[in-house]
Amino acid sequence: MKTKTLNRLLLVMGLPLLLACGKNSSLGKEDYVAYVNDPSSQLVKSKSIHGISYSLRFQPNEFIVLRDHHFGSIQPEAFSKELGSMKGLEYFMLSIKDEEGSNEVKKAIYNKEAYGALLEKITSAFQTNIQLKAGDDLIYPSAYHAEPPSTIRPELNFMIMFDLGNSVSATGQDQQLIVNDDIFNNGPVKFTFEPAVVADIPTLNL
Amino acid sequence: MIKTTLISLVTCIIVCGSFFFFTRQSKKTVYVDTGKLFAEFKLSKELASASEEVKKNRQQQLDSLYEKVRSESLKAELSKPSEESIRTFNLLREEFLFKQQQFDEENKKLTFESDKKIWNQLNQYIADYGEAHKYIYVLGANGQGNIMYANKENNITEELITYINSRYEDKNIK
Repeated sequence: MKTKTLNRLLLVMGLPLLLACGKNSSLGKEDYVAYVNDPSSQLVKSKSIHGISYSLRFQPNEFIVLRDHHFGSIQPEAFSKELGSMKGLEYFMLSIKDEEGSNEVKKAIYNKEAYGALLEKITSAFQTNIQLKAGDDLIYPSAYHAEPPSTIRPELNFMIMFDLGNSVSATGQDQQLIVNDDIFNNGPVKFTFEPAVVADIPTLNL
Repeated sequence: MIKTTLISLVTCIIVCGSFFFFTRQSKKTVYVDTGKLFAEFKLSKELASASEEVKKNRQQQLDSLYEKVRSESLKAELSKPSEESIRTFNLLREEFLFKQQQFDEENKKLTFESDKKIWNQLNQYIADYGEAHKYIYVLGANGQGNIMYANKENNITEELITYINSRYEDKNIK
């Protein structure tokens, strides 16, 4: 009787754990996109410094291929071909915005001179303020796109791509993205992704 | 008999409650050695090293200019200087003085901006640490007498150094 109760208890406690472990191993297209976009996902790293909030999202290449096809249908062969051409590339989305009560970004929007300087800064020079430390390598972005803030959306958004090529030292090492914020004068802001984060990304089941 | 036991029990609860309340309260005010915290913060070390490099480079430029001024001055002392050499000397001296003032201002600006970056991050991490540990006050002891005495048990400098560096690097630091 005692053993039976114990077995039942173990089943009740263990089943959700088993389900949870297996849940992310393979996901359909919609679930995969939702997983990457989930703000509580391990692919998102956030920091708040002096009224400014920084959020960095790692975007797997599978997600980029889907996005390039507007999350519509794509043949598995075409998908694999596109994915293969992206070997060694890594994509990140960086967002910089005001925290509640702080108006640093808004201040820059409403001041014509400051807004001009901000636009000039983010569209070119700021690119050199972003680096990816992968193993022993320090890599600068290969592609960079900045989205200026607006009164409706007072935040700075950046799409950043790094080409790690065949970097051996990057394999199995932490990856650290460093953003040297000289816009709001907060200095280097670092985000570290452990290898497990990438390893734990579920596979996409088309 | 029951009444006596009840009174003893209530007294015991009050005494224990007060003890835990006041013990917890006293733990909610801690202090840090701000000088040590600043010096041991990884960002301070990184920025100090970068600033040092810039300042060293500027000093080398100044030294080189100074050598030129000195050389022109020596030439003038040894023989009767021509108008051309006096003009060169004056130009070089002016350039030296201008650069010296410019670098001095730029060095001060660099230090000010570095300190601002460091304190922006430090203040944020200290506030987060204080909130996480539910401290009422985190006092800063800088050895200039703003805290005249504090029990060393309430010194959280070492824990805070580990915490701020771990937050800055965004990873666990042992």
